[in-house]
Amino acid sequence: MDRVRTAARRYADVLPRGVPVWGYLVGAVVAVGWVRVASTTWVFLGAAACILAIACMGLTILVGWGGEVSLAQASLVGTSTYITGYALRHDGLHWAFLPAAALGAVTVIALSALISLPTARLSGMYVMVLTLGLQVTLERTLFTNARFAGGVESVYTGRPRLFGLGLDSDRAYYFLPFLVLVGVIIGLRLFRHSRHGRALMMVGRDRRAAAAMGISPLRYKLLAFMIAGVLAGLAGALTTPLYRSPPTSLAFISVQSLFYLAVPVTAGFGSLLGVVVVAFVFTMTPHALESAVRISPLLLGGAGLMLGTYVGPGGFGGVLLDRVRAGREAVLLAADRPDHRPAANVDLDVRDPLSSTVGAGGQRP
Amino acid sequence: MTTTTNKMLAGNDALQWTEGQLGALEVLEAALPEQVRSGVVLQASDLSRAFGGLRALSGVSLTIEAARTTGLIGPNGAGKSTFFDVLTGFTAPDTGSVTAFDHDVTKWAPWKRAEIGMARTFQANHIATELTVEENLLIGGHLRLSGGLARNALRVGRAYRDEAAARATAAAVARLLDMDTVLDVRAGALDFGAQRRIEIGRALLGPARLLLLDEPTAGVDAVEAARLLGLIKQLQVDLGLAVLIIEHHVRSVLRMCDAIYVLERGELIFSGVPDEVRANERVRAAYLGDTSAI
Repeated sequence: MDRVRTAARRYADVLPRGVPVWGYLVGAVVAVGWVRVASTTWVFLGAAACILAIACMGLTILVGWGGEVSLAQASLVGTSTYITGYALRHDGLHWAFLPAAALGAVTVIALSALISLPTARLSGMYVMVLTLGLQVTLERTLFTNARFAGGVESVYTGRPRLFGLGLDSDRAYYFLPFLVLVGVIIGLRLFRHSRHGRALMMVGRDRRAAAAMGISPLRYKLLAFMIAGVLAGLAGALTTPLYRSPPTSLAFISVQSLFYLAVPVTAGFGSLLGVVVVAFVFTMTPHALESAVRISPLLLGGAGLMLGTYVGPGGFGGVLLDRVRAGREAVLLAADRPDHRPAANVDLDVRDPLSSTVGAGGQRP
Repeated sequence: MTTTTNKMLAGNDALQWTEGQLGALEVLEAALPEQVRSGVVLQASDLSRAFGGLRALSGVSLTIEAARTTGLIGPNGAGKSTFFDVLTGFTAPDTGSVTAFDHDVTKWAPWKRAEIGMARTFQANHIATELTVEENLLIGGHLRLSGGLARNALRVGRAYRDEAAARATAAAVARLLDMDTVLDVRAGALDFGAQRRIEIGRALLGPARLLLLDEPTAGVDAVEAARLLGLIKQLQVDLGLAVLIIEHHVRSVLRMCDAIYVLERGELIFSGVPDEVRANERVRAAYLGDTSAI
């Protein structure tokens, strides 16, 4: 029991504050239970939303935490999808799922590392152009190669068995991306509150200050690209069995990278759960409204980019979180104790005529 | 432990820590690396730097002694911040060298200089406003922590122990800065003066042996400025730190510093103890004006 308590204390900050235990239980029951009652179409879309959320969390880290930008995320997800598919197929390498997925992910991580090296000395617009260049290059090479993308003939990859469990049905397969998503969220929360997560956050906000604290901005810039690559690789590897045959390359073209970016922009870069919610909304809304009106997910993405940008870096999730935090902070600020301040009755005479008139350099609000 | 509750400062003004703050001071002192108690900790020699046709620095030399507060003053555009940037590696000098703690650091990156104990603050606030006070302080403690991604994320072994120790030190620093009740508040929710204190605290959380403070009171009112400067001097004395401070509150600089350097238009026009600076005609003409009020 003591061990449980110790572990609970050690990892307490991984969970969002202010949510009661029953809240997590209800969330878990809903996240798992809805699969039992929903139609397979919805379950399929749920799995697709989980995969979208995983890919978009890579952009949350890269853009929101690391202060970088990438317009290549869709191409990285596509690369992993096609490489994993090729490794799985009978007419390909015919590997088992896990090594095939690892190959897809490793390929994408290598590409991310490659693209991150020149970005070490670039910023802003140039990184955007560079990543867009990677996106277009992959579109015009790997994605047009019939061996990987299937060309006009569809290629069957099927769904894997993992640890003796068959994942062939949509209901069964949903749990694979769902559990990976849960693992990714927990992993990112742990990372965010670690030494390296804080360093990445600081680099994303103020590179000079980070450098002054002994943090190499270059190192953490590379790390941000690598994490985005890992998540794109995971998302791609999970996409292949979802569709049973690789989706058309239209699913991974340039405009899709903007769509991927729209998810964290809408959700806000401060909320991983917000990314999940927006990924589900963007994936399921077109189907939910199908009988009344046809909406392209890309339209939702475009609207999300505009509205999310309008709301600010925090996105809609940030607006909500700000309200929650502001209430808690108001209580803490009210409890602040000015009487405990050190007596600083030294030196500076508030009437000092020099204090505000001579050589007043620097910032003065 | 060199602390007393009534440490006498240069101006014979006593600062008093509360009992809790004295305990926090002990925690911080134990966490800091061994301080250099005597000799020279930093030597800048003949530093020059030009931006296009503008000579921002011209053959400036400066010595920072251990366990002393050294002031750097000069009017706007004198080159003080450029000099700071050269000392801390953010700007490369055209000529000259910088030696710190017996290392020639002239070509070192800023983060490498931080590793040997050079901790700096900036003229404008450079904190992460959407992170909490504690997180901002812990960022300063980055170099105290060990371990790679996995160990830190999973919080196992030494990485976890280091993190716990860094959090305890951050809490101690927050206590000294009178911010222990707002550790969990986002820095952006605090007033400007509190944000300045966070930046100073963050510098202390590193393996600080030399604090380089670029106008720590810029943008705060006179009362808060007095508190900040008092705090800085008290910490310098009690912890045995070496401090180089750029400050425009001239009266305070003259009283809190052990040595002062005066820059004008990128050139060092005078250096000496405060009384010498106060008496020097060139300094008075260039910067102080009528010193009868000082």
